[in-house]
Amino acid sequence: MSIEVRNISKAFGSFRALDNVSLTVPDGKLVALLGPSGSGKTTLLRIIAGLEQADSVPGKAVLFAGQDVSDRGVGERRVGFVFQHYALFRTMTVFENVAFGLRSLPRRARPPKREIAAKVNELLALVQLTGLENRRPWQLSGGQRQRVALARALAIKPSVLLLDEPFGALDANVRQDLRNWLRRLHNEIKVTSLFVTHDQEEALELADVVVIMRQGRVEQIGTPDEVFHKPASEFVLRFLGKVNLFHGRNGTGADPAAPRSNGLRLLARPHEVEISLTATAESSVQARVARILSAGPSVKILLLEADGTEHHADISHKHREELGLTEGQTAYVTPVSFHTFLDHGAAI
Amino acid sequence: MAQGRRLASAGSDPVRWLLIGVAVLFLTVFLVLPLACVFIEALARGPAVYWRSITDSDALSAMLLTLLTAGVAVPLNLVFGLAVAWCVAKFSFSGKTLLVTLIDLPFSVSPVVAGLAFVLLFGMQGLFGPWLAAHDIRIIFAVPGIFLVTIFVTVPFVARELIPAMQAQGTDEEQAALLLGASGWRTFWRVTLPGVRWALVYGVILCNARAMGEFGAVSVVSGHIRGQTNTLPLAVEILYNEYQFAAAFSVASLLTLLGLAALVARSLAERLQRRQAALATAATLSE
Repeated sequence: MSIEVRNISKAFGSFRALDNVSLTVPDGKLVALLGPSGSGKTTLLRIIAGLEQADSVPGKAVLFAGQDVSDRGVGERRVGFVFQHYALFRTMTVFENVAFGLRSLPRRARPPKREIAAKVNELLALVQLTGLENRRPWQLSGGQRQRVALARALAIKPSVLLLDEPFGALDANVRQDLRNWLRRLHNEIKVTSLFVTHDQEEALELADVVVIMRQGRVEQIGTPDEVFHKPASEFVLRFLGKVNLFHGRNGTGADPAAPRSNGLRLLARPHEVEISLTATAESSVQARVARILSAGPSVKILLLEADGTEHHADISHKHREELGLTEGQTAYVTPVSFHTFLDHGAAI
Repeated sequence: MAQGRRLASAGSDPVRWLLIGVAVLFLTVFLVLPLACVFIEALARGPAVYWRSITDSDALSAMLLTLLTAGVAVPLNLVFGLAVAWCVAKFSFSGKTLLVTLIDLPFSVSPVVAGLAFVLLFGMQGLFGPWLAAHDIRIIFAVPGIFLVTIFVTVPFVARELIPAMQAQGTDEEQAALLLGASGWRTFWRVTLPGVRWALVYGVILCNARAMGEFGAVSVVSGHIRGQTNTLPLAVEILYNEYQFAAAFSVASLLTLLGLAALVARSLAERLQRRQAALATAATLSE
């Protein structure tokens, strides 16, 4: 079931959490709401769930499969919601947690006991928690709790699944495992899902579509490829990873009296710069090798210009050996490919 | 806990014994001795006198009235405490601080003053006095007055225990229940209430102890009519003032036993809770 929000604004006192946001989540897709904290992504998720009310602005609407659900209560939207800290019912067992939604149905719609038990067991098998039915939430690990929360949300056959920072409270290892698992699960059950995250790697790896938010507005919507390779703004580019800033220059820079910047900002990611021992192009800048991190698949190098500007470069181990690069040495950084923005951050 | 043990052993022996000695002395003088005295004095003239004192019809009716008062005040405060704690802990509204302060009022106002206030409201010369007299309703110097002042002085107990528990509980679980389609009523009974049940038990026990033991406020409104408006604390005072020491202490021992029973109930509740936790942990570890 597709989700569409139109003209959603929300202010908390004088703080504008959401500023006229509109977006569509296509049916069956897994979409990430990505942004720094305070960008309004969780507020948007809660408005879709019905846990918050959007400010009444003409034309505002939340639609599920084209149907306006703005007037429907929290319990009537059939939204599966996974809270950041899971919000499992701490006095109930795992089984009771997952069964809660089915047991809360009005009597005529409620399945018989045996059917509920079968359904719960099926869900627990789906989230790989068979055998833990009688545990209490505090007897589970973080990853297990997360999967109970997911099973509980799926039990009501939700029309859409909303997840608030689903991996935020987990260890790095568990996080990676669960991320892969969630992707496979989504491919299996195909329920339209929207998840909030501030981790760009998570969003890019997991989502079909990434919505990047900033200060209550949507900055860009696109596939992971699109937002990574065609960022709509400098903000998006910077948010998706480290970047190196080069100023567009007039002339070669040999004449110190000439104005150096021509108002263009060239931004290149660490893998898009080249390191050499001599200047290879007009745009090369001289910098001192401050740090070399070679414990990893590539060598990460931090370079400092004389004025303190940082540059980050990712090069292969082989290339580093060829250069014979050591810390403290002087080298040149040259952008090989880059994104160009005007000084105020707009894309060209 | 390990750290506590290390800290304790870090102190030198004399200091440790001194601290233990002070604590034991303090407890003995201020808690154990008075308590023991009550029972020793009660039984000083033999068990026969003791038995006669506590089965005396005035004593029995005082006991009955005390239990009845607690039976009225505790359930009402339970409902009120739940409602008010829920409002304060789960919602933000203007006047919240004022409400919380008001709940504490009975703690800060002397019970005698509270009693007088009710006399001024419902007494013959009071605000509603003439109207009540015209309709032949007696509140002051009658049982309803005792109920009213007892409710007043016990208002804070349940609410005070529940507010922090409910605040710690947060609203996520309740929202999760509502999202799963549960009604507000079901959410309250299945999620909110079970989550704060121990705080509730504790609050009820404290509330009950105070309801049975209240003296000042009840004394002002009761009128001390034997066999009718005497509660156990009032009966003790009357007997004592009449120099019937054995009887006074016998009745006092009953009141003390009720208080001790409340304490035992509380520690049982705590132990039960801890055992549940321990069992569950053991189950986890054995996996």
